[in-house]
Amino acid sequence: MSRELSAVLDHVEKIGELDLEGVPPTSHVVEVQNALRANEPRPSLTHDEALAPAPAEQDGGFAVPSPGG
Amino acid sequence: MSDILSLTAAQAGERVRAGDLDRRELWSAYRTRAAADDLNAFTWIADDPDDHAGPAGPLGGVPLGVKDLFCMKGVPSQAGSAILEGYRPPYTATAVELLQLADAPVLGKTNQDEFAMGSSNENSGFGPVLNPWDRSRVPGGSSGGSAAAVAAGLVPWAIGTDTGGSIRQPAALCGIVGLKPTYGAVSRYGMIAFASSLDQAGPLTRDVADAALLLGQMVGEDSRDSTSLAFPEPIEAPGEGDLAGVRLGVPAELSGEGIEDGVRTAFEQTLDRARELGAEVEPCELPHAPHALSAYYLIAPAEASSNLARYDGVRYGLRAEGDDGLLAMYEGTRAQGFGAEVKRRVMLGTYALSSGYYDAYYGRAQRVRTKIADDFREAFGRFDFVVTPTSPTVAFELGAKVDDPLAMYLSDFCTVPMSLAGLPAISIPCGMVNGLPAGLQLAGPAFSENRLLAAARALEQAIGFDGSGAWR
Repeated sequence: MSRELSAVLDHVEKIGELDLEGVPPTSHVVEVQNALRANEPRPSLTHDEALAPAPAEQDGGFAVPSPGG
Repeated sequence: MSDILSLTAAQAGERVRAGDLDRRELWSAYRTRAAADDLNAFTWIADDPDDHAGPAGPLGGVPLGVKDLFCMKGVPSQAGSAILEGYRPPYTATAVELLQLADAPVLGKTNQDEFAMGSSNENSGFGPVLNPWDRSRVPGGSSGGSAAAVAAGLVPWAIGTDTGGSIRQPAALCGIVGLKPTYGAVSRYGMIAFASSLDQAGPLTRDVADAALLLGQMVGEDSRDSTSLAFPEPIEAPGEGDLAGVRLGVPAELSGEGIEDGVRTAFEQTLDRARELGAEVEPCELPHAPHALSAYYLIAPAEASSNLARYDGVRYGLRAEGDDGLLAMYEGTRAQGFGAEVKRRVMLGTYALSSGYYDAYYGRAQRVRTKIADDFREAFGRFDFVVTPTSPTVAFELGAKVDDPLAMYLSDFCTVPMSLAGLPAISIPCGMVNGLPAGLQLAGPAFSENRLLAAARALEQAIGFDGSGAWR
């Protein structure tokens, strides 16, 4: 795995050769402003629906092992 | 039966709507073929649907294949990954919902590279898909199941997703049509995310007319995806036309070095056809395109490393058993559930985003992305479309590139630049090379889908590609 990752890094490092001084970054191509919906309640999954796919459930919540082990 | 199979999806839908074909007969012809799938193209096949009430909708009851990563309520949806074993989502993706409403009943979920990471469909938790033209070869990826199923006549049409080429490249390798729409044209709601700034859903079909018909029912703004946009015009069925006055730019950076000889010959012959149809074909420049792959393999893994953090064995899917506490459960679940390529990309992405390396990797990649978008903007000042081979090679042997990720990544060399710029691009079959199909890619400015489909249709008709070798 480390050999494969090194080969990929060697390749991607070629972008270091480009002169990118003053070029703005693009994180997203869509020219939309921050899209926030109105802060109003709307229908969503019920408690039971949200819990149904969980591997383990307890007292109406997601059950996980103790952080302390 | 062979009559039904020889119809395109649009033709079948038209006959259903006209009352000349029974939709149950159409369903059962394909249901039978899908159930006998020996390409491993499907991960799940639907039971027969309830009788349809009322007149047929715009998609005419023509059965649809859906890439596994689209969530469907109550239907196994694992994005090809063992880490989502047993997951049945409580909701349905917008794109699927729209197509169902337009009367395309879902025939099955199709196999794919895990989390859409791959170009051969060999990175699937369900095992590889075989190419119907030659079963010792890959169908391409990541939407390999959708492409193989359509090519082999196991389903009339299908949808997939494209992050860096995952619709176009398998379409090329399987001899069918694949369209990646403009970023934002189709809602991503309910698509299991890989790289959110790049992922886009689109059709995989037998011909361009089918692609237009399916796309027309998928597009639209969705309040559940804040990056989705209203498509500025209806998607039209492409008419019968030529390419008179159409200016095609051929970027040397994406059509010369690295392209297999046979693919280059098929590509050049197709450019001659375009000239015969009245197109002006001239060289164009995309000077930063050779760096697109590097930028892509920093940006996409960076986004993936963030998106895939949610798979921790708590809310859905696999959980590794053990008594060593929460952290060990997280680690065990991810070690066990993710395949090698996903682990590779999560590590690469985490590294690219890490303190001290962020500017050199992720930050620079975002700047390269700007330059690539600028290159296209300049090219589209002079040309209507940019045209390239879709894939540098035809379908390769199973196993040929699994141990060499970089060689695998190079499969996306011609498709990644358009993804980074968010542009629409279509792959159509342009000829056969030693018994295997080659694809040609046309890319246009944002929201130019109607013009793109019309040009692709004109070329397709002049080429006259016969795909029946994959299903007869």
